[in-house]
Amino acid sequence: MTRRSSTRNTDVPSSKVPRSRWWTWSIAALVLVTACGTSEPRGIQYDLRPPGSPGVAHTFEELLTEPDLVVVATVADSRPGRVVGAGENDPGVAFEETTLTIDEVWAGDLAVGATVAVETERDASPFSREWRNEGQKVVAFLWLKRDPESAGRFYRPIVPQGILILDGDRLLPAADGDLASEAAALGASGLRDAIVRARSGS
Amino acid sequence: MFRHRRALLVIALILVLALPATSNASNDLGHTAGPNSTVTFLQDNLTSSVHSAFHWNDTNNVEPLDVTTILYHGGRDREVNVHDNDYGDVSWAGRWWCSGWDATFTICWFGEVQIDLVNGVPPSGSYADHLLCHEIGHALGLAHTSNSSCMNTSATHIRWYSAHDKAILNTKY
Repeated sequence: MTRRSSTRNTDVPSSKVPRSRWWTWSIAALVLVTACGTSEPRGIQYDLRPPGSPGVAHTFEELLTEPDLVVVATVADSRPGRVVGAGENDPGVAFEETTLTIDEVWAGDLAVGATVAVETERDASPFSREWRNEGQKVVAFLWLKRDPESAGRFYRPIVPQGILILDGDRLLPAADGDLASEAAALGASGLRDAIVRARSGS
Repeated sequence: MFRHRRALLVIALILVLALPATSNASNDLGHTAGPNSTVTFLQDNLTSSVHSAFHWNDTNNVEPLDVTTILYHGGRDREVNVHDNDYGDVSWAGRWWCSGWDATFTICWFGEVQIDLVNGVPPSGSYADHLLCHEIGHALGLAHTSNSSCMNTSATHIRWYSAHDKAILNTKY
C-alpha cells in the first residue's frame, strides 16, 4: 500500500495534487449536497387537519397549550403496532407502538415513573430523525387519542413536530418545521418555562 | 491529470446520485411514472364527497395541464391510489407517500393518497376540493408552497394550482 502510494507521488508533484485531495473534495461535495437537501422525508407528505380542529397544533402557542400531556420521557420499548383502516387496496395506517417512561411532567396529569403508549405512523414515517429507539430521551407533546378504538389506550404526538430529541439541555426536532425549530431554539429549560407561561395565561 | 479526472468523476457521481434529494427545495417532489404523460388513478371506493372533489379536480385542475389521466374505480393498484377511510384519531387530514420509487428517487412508480374521514365524516365543500387538489398535487410531484395555491397548507380556501405549480407540472409531463 505504501509502495503504491509512493510510486504515484513520483508522477505528480505533491505540491500540486496532494494524494488525498480528491477524497477530500469528494467528501466535501457529499457534505455540501446533503446540507443543501431538505431533511423532510422525501416522498412522504403529511397535511394536518385544518385550523380549529381538535388535537392539532398549527401555531407555536397551540403547541404549548393544546396537548393533553407534555413530558420528558425515555423510550422503554418500541414495536410494530396496529394497522388501522386497511382494505382490499388501502394499506391503511400501520402504527409503531412506543412505550415511554415519564421522567418529568411539564403539563398534564400523570405521575413520574408512569408509562404511556404512543402511536406514530410506521409505514410512511413523518419523522426525519428516528427517535423511537430504546433509551432515547425526548420531550413529547402528546394528545390522548379520542376515537373509540384508541380512547384511553394510546397517545399520539399532537403533530409530528411535537417530538423533540433531548440531548442535555439541547433539543433536536424529530420532524422539521417552524414549530419544532422555535421549540428547539428555547432549549429544554426555556421550553418548559414557555409552557408554564402559556398555560397560566401570563 | 489522471487523479483530477478521477476526482471529478467521483464528485459528478455523488452529485448525480444525491441531486434528486435536494429537489424538494424547489417545490418539486419527483415525478409520478406514466408513459406519454399519462397517469393512472385508482379511486378506491371513495365516499361521495371525496369522489366528487376528486372529479372536480381532475376536470378543472389536472385535465387543462399537459397531463392525461385515466381513472379506474376498482381492480389492481395504479400509479396513484386514492383511498379514504377513518384511520382513527390522527393529526392529518390527508397524506401522500410514494410506495415505489425508482433507484434514484426521481420517479415514483406507485403512490398512495389517503384522506382521513374524521369520526367517519368525510371532508366536504370547498375544503374537500382544496384537500384533493393538494394531495393530487403531491402525487403529481408538487411540494408545499407559500404561494397562492392549494399547495399552501395555510390557505385551505384555495382549490387551484398557482401559475408556478402549473409550470412545474407542465415541465414534468
